[in-house]
Amino acid sequence: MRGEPINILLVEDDPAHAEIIRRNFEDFRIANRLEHVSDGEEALDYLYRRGRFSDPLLSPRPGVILLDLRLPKVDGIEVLQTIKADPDLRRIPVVIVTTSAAEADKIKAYDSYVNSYIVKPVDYSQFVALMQTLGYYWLAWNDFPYERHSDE
Amino acid sequence: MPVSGIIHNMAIQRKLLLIILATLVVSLVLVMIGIVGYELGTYRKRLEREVAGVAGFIAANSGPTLAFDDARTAREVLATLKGSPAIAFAALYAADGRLFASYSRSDQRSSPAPAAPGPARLETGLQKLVLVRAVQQKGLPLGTLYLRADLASVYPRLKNYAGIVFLVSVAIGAGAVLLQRLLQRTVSEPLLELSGMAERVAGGDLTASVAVRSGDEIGRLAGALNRMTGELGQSYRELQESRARVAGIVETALDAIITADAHGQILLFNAAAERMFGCPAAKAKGSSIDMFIPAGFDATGTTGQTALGELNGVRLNGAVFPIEASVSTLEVGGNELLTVIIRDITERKEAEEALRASEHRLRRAEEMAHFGYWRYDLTANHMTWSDETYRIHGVEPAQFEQSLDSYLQFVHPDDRELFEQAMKQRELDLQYRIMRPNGVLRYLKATGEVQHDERGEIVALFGTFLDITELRRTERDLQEKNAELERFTYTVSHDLKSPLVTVKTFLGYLEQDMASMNTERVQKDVLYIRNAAEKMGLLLDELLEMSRIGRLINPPVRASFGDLVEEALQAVAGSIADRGVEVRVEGDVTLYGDRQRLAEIWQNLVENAVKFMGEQASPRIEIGVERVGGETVFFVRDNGIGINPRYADKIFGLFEKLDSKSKGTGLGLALVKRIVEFYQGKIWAESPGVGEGACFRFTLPEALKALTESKGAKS
Repeated sequence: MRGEPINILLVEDDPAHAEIIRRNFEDFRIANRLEHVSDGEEALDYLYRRGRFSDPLLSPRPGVILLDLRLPKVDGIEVLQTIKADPDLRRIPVVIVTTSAAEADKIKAYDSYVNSYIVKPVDYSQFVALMQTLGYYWLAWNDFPYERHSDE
Repeated sequence: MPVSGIIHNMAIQRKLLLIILATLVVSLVLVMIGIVGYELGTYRKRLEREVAGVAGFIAANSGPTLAFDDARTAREVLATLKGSPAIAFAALYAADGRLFASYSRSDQRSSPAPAAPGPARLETGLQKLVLVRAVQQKGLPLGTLYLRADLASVYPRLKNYAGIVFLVSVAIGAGAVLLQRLLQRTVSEPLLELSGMAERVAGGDLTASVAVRSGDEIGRLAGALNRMTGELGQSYRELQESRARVAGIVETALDAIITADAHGQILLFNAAAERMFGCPAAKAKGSSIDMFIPAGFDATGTTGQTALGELNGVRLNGAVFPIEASVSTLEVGGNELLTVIIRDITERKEAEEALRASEHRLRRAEEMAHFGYWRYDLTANHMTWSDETYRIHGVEPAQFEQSLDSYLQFVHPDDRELFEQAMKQRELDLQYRIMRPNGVLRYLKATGEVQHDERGEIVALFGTFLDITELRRTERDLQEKNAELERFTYTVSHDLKSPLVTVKTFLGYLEQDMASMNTERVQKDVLYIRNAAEKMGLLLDELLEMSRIGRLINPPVRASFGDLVEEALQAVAGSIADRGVEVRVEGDVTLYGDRQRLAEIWQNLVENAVKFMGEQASPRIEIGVERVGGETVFFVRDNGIGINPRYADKIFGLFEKLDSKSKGTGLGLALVKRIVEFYQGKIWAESPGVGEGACFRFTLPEALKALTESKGAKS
């Protein structure tokens, strides 16, 4: 672990689901900053610091992106592909967190260089366990290159 | 028989002999006449001189006898005439005219002396010569002398001449016979040989020849005859061979060959005819040709080979079978001969029939399967099509030039390169589009393979065209249905799972929060759970609704545009009033369909427009219909927040929402799209951009078409 704490960008259109994830982070005392946007367009605006995200201080580069697939306007796959096609963004690990277990979605995601694909469990305790593991894995154990972003 | 006739038929040998002898006889006779003439002439002259001399001598010597009247001496003087054999008679007359003395040659019968000697004269006759002169002494007439000589003395000479001539004639005649014998060897014998040879040739012996012995006309004739015979023999042999060949051909010919005379009587009946008609030649000969070809034919005036076309033949056993015949007429020695060549076409007819049946089946199969045959001849740049291929391309045979270039005119411009490439690579298995002359687009699948000649060179391509337009349409429909089904399944698995996750998870939190008595969180938890449950209920309702659209259950009715819109507006009157939206309706069209579903289109569109009115201070919705390029287009226009053009298509997707915070499930527009498509229409959204309003346009061809057919619609 080095440098400043990792920021997390959560892209989730369902406010209930966003609430679940936020609560889990709180419950596990994960202090990392969690930014929540509710559709693909907002996610890209955040990453490219457009519109209301134009202030870099308010929209720091995330260390991990938790991305839902089915999103209004620009869907998750398109957001993923945009990130992975951009040399400035492609080192950011993207974790798909979705209710879809469809084969086509998994294939599309991995073909677009997704770093991990997680299907949201329907069971409460499983969801809690997943979020705990996910938090520890990406925030504590996963190592990142020092130069995470070419602009830093 | 006249003499000339006899001579004419005489052998040359005799003719020659006759000519020689006649010539000889004539010449000898002429010689003899000449000799005799000459002999007589000279003898007479000599006789005249002799008689004159004798007369002078007698006259001189008889004078004294007269004077002295010495008759005895006078007779003695006259007797000296014995020395002149020519003098036949002499008489001496006295001056007084009395006969004094006379003399007669011994051979002369005593002939009386003329009574008077007459005047002095020399009288020359043919047989005799008479001389009368006076006997004078010293100018004194003493008497008259009468002398008569005859030509008798010349006859022995003439007899001698005749003898000589006869002997010469005999000798010449013998010589002529000898000569003739000689000539016979050099002339007659070769001629006889020639004639013998000619007789042999005439008898049929063409090997005969004759020796050429001389260079004269006969030799040349013999040479010519030999050559002629040789050539004749050659021609004859050739003729024989040719006849044998013809006979061989006639007998081994597969076609029946029958020759008949002008009355149809069969003269020749070859082996093939025997087999074909089941009748031995012996039996057929003499019969009428009508027995075998009863329909008959008219060969009069035909020259050369004339096809008679297809006729019926009858076998000896009465069986009728199809034939093809041709006839040729030949005039031989004033007689007309018909030669009929007949071919049994039973098998060919059967094959033709089978081929026709097969072609018919193929044609029907092509029609039914919508596939057509084609063949492209590379060397001739010629394309052959089957009937169905013409139908597939929507042209009549006369409209297609049958070349590759003219074919490319059918191929859709965008697919031309693809098609040409495939033709060039000789690998035909492609799908492409064609444009019929009437502008109708069809999808074809062309399959083909190459055809090689004996050297292995590609000479042609051939294969089939399959019209896959319907197939593609069905395929596309099926794909659409599949995609929709997938979306449906996806929706069920994702969109329904999503609230389920929420419900179950928050139930977990609820338990926890109730245990820790965190009432604030409990309230929140319950709210999330309720929202999620409501969402699920709504989703399930809409899914049910959606599944119903495919099978519209209400019977189609006629409804005016105004009524339908009015109905829709009433259904959403509440939200319109709440937001204070001004609605304008314009247009007059009658539609035919499921009234309730048609109204749902406007209902959903108006609902959508109201929902996305945004902060608009004076919200307004315009509903209308207009004609655009021959099409009736409906529209619902608002002045709300508009649509980002980027997402214009996405909005019609099932359960797609552009705004996650907006209410509803995202089903409304998907529902509208399904209804529009049910009526074969299209729907699209137009918006200059966010905040500038939106306009939904759609067509409903089927709802209008059904009406056009019955009554006609106004727009």
